[in-house]
Formats: sequence, C-alpha cells, structure tokens
Amino acid sequence: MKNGSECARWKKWNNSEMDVLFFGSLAVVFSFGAIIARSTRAIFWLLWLSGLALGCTYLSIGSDFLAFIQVLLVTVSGVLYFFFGFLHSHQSRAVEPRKFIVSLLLGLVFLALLGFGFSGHALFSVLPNSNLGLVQLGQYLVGHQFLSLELMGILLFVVIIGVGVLARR
Amino acid sequence: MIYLISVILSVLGFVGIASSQSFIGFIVGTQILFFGFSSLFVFIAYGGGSQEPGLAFGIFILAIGAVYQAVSYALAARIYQRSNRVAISDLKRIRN
Repeated sequence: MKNGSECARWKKWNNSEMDVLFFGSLAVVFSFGAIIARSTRAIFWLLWLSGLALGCTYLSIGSDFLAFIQVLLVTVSGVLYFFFGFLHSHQSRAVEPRKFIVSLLLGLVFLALLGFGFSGHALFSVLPNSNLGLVQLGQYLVGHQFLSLELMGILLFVVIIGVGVLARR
Repeated sequence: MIYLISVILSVLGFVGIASSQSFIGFIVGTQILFFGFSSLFVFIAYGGGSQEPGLAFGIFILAIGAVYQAVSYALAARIYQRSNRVAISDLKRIRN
C-alpha cells in the first residue's frame, strides 16, 4: 500500500516536471521566434505565446497567482505592442547577420557567466511537489517584504504619472 | 534541466537586446530577459526548501518588468513623434 502511494507520488512529480519542461521549451521556442521575426504582427503573437507558455509553466508547478500575474502582464503588454505596431508598421525590423552573430557570441559569453554562477548548484534537478497558497504568499509579502511591497507600489504610481506626462508632452 | 529553461530565456533576451537596431527589438529582448530572470527565481524557490522568497521576488521582477514596458512604450511613442521611426539612435533626439 505504501509502495503504491509512493509510486503515485513519484508519477505526479514526473508528470509535473514533464509539464514544466514542455511549456518551458515552448516559451523558449516562441521567444527565439520573437527575436528573429521581422514583422510586427509575428513579434506580437510570438511574444504573447511565449508569455502564455511561461504562465502555463507556473501553473504546472502550482503557482496560480504568479501564473495569473504573468498572463495578465503579457496580455496587457501584447495589446500595447499591438497598438504601437500600427504606428510604425512600415518600418522593417531587419537584423544584420553580422551583428546577429556578434550578439550570439555575446549571448554565449553570458551563458558561460551564468553557468559559472550556477556551478555550485544543481542545474539538473527534480521539482518537489508542493503548493504554496495565496494566503501564505500574502502573509510572507506583508510580513517579510513589506518595504519592497510599498516601494513597488510607489514605483508603479510614479510610473503611471510619468508615462502620462511623457506621452502628453 | 528546469533551470536551463530560464537560463536559455535570459540568454535569448540578451541576444535580442544586443542584436536589435530598432527600439522595439530592444523592448522585446528586455521583456524576454525579464521572463528568464523571474522564472529563474521561481524555479530556484521550488527546487529549494522555502518557496515564499522566490515567488515574492518573481512577482517583484514581473512588476518591474511592467514598469519598464510602460516607460519604454511611452518613450517609443515619443521617439516616433519626433523622427517618424523607432531606432535606438533616435533616443538622443528627445533629449531636448
């Protein structure tokens, strides 16, 4: 009986990890498409799909609230980008091959730096199956990160005013 | 393997920023970079013992990403009004 329940738990862990890998890989593929795409419409769709795939990844590990924020943010940002795309739709966003290769090399250096930073940790790991409730997260934010939360609120408020001023000038 | 997704997303964002000539490409690259780093915090939190700090910092990074997006689009609209295109080199034009 105990073996059966342990087996079911391992199965659940593996399923969760497979979901995370699947949606995470989708996010990577869509992001790569958004970087190399040339038309504004394709960039909008690929970036939106990448954000949605990342939201599904968060859902797979049981983080509903973060998934909601991710989907909300990427949708609002996508709508902004879509409307902005109408303004400059005649402009091509061509990437020079030489510059792209140099950027790719810089990206590899960045990857090496990240790998060096992670050398003390396990890059290949299995996710534990534990869910964090919204109430616990809220209690942690208010109890331990209250200053950061307040600063974030003030920052958002200032930015709303600043963006209004910037767009109106 | 799961952290690699975040690392690849971050690197893709970095490549997007470095290779972009248009300001829109710069915004897209930075957004992907924000995706990568927020997911990195979340995955590290889930791989480790306590989850609250990682989720909290994931939320903070997403919020800062939203702030960045709002300012970037406002700047891009301003650049477009001035020079009828959205190139990074035109950022200097809105200085005055």
